[in-house]
Amino acid sequence: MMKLDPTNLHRIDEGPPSKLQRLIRRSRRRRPSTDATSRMAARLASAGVFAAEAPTSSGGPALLDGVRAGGATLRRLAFGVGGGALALVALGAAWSAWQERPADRMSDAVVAPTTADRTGPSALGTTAAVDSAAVPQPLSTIVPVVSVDELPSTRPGLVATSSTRTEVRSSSPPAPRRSESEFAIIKRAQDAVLSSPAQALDLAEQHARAFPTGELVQEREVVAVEALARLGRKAEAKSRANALLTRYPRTPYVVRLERALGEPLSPAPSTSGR
Amino acid sequence: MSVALSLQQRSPAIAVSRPGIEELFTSCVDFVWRNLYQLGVAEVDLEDQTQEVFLIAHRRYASWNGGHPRAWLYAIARRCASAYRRRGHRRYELCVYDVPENGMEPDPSERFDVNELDRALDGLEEGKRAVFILFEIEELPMREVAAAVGCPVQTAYARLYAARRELARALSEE
Repeated sequence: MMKLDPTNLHRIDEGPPSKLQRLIRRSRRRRPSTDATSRMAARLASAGVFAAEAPTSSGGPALLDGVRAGGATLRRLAFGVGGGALALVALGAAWSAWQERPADRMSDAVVAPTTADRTGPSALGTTAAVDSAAVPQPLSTIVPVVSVDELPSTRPGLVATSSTRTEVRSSSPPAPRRSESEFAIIKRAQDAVLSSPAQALDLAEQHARAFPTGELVQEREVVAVEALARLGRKAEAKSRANALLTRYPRTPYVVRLERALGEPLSPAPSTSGR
Repeated sequence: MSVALSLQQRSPAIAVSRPGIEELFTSCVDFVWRNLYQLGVAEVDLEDQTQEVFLIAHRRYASWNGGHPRAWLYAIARRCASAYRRRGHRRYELCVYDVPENGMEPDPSERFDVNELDRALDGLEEGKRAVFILFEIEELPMREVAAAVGCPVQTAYARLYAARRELARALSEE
């Protein structure tokens, strides 16, 4: 019979090996995929959730704060958590920070290809980012590799010399960039809303054509509403905001949409306006 | 014409010592995710609900005293999961374009083990289960566990020991 002795309390994890201990350790590994985490971070950042804690300098527009905080979060997640795919997502948003941190860049570059293999060229644009990430990797750290086609069948003298390595590298350049990733388009659109709303709107339309059922549909629509509002096309902005609200009644962007429109959105969007 | 929105107001002075929501998200997203799962949120809804927890944390940030961040997030997660379960009857069916990705890292063998523990945990009374998970899996200090579940520390210890006994019995019977 166990006694209640708080001073002498150990976790099962610290005790002798047992089945329960093994199950507990495994259960700790349950976590969202890196893709899921980056989607949540991007949405929370876009919703301005991270902005309130950022130093609010001279009361600048909330949108800018949101975008800045979003970049910072993705960057911190990428370098702090070290998630491969997350690093890839963050690459687009945080290229400048990327340049400043060569040590982290290297560790992430090593992680990147494996993750990309597992997740495949997802909507978050791993393919394009892998290309960029793989480039800075120094040749000296690469294990000599010869492609199967180049293995000698009758000539035993051929080994993986440095010239072979160079040849292999030059013969397999990074895969050509596919079309711009979903995340990159939305990021560019968000960045352009304030300076050039027309361009932001174009990017939103581009996203709508390329990713009609993408992961960032809500983000695209928010950008479109903001851009339309800034262009003075209030009626279009409002109908688009209502459409978003109809399709995603629990969207976290209501506040942002209302801010863009300058008026509250009615909870039942079927009645236009109020 | 523009209408002033009270929603635009930012929370006033924020203590320097408190971690921001962004920081909390970075350090606690896995914790929130796991606990929502244990609190009965379906895998396909974990992403939504995790996001919801941080949205609520953002809204309530001003009223948080900055102590025990994980206990605070756990309390929010518990309310979220409770509201989610109440809505459950309206969401038996979902129309989706694509089969949703459940956000879990794929590893069938690990999953089997984890499910075994889940089944055993399901047999525990809710209070014991919460204490066990927070102390043994999440490794929170017992004082924080007690704060999270809202009971005295001694009660939390008693629940922990009871949970250990019941789990050991359940697993040995399988």
